[in-house]
Amino acid sequence: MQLNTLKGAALLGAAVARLLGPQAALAVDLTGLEVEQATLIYQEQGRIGVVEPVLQLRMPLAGEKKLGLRYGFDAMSGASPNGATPTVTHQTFTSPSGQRYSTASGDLPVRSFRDQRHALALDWEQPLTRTLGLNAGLNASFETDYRSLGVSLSLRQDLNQRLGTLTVGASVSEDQLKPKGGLQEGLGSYQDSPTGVSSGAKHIQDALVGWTQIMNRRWLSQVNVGLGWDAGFMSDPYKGVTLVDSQGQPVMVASRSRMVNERRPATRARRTLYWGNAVHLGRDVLHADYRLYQDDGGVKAHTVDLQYWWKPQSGMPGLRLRPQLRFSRQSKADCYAHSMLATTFDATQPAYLSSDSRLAANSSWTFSLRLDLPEAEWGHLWVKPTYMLQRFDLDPAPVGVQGDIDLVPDLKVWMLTLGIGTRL
Amino acid sequence: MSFQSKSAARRLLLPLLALWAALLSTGCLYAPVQPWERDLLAEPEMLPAPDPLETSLDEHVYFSKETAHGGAGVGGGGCGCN
Repeated sequence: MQLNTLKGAALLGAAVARLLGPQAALAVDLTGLEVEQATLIYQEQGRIGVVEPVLQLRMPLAGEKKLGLRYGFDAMSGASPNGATPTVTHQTFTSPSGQRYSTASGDLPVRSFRDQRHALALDWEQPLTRTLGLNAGLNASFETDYRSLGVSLSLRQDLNQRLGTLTVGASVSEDQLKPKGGLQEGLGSYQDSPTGVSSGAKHIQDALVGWTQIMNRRWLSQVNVGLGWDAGFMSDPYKGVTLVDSQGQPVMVASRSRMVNERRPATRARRTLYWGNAVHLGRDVLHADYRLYQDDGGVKAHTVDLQYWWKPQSGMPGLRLRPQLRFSRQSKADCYAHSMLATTFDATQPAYLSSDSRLAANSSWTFSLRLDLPEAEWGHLWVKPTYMLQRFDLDPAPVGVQGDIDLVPDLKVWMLTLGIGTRL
Repeated sequence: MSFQSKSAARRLLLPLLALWAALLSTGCLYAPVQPWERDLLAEPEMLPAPDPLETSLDEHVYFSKETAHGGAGVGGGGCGCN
């Protein structure tokens, strides 16, 4: 098995290092290296499928330093909503690459796509004094039409005989998107308003202050306050919004539905309040987390995540079962509308408009069950099936024939995650 | 959130905070722990994120489907999925 080979390599490395002396020992000794691999298989009902294998290495170094490396590869394919509203008639669209595709009456219009993503993260952890620690990270992510480069830095100060820890952190990310066909004019005719600009930039900054407290022998509690600022091209270059008449039917122009490219505000300020808890129940452990999110685009979200680590008294170390229930409820963004009356659009000339359902008011439920198999000599193995259901509010209220159609259908997602790990 | 539910939340918040403060001050919730009493706290499941690799995969999914994100830490890398 590959993991046994790795373990063998570590022993060989250590033996060679001993022969070559202490300097070489530092260079090649892999003892203590943690190797983790996990693969997520993700499938939305009737939409996108993703396979995402990730490899993570963590190497303890002299002086309690730690170096971490994570590489992930996503293979995405399937169908993504193009923003158009479902109608009672057949619809035809043209993709940015010029391909025509159609949607049956009553169905949510989607466009086929295929993409890959490579993501690399480096993490460095080191104590600066007995009670002060530093953590620095580098992130890079590459897709066909999107690139993200980021750095992060955080400091942890233990206080009050290590009963409390103050964390201060910040991160900056510079993203660039390069959509097929170039950037389109926001609120211009859908996929037919080229700006002549091929790419757009997005700047993302985050800052966080947190306090972790040992409450008692069984309870660890953490409170974080986070601020974030995004600026740049924030719109989805492939999504549009349908303009409808008073009967709820798309306004037709040259035998096509009248649509405009979506447009979102060029800046966004975010605030988060996070409260995480881990409670030891004697044998089992309960995690109960809550997050409040708010941004200046009108979105406010409450998220609760409950995880129960059940450790049966089986005489098999490492055997664990962990059910999870997560619930998130968000309000709609100010710029969201599943479609808009053409008369309203022409009369009010809105500054921003998007029909991306992720900006709609919605409730999201996630259920998962993780099973960790008993520890083996070579390492450990775990598996986690997950189901996610997202239901959307209908806003604005449907007009005319829209009342006969499911304008924003539920999103149902099945996931399976498989993990394997060892320490050399 | 409607006006009524906002005031209901505010009405609920004050008693909850009072209860929280009372439990803290009476020692029901807060009891300083000596270094030799931290055996349970040292178990791997008590870490804020017991499996960072799993957490990163989960957060990527939530990030791609919801507007709200972040809160537990900084960094993590961007993505064109949202």
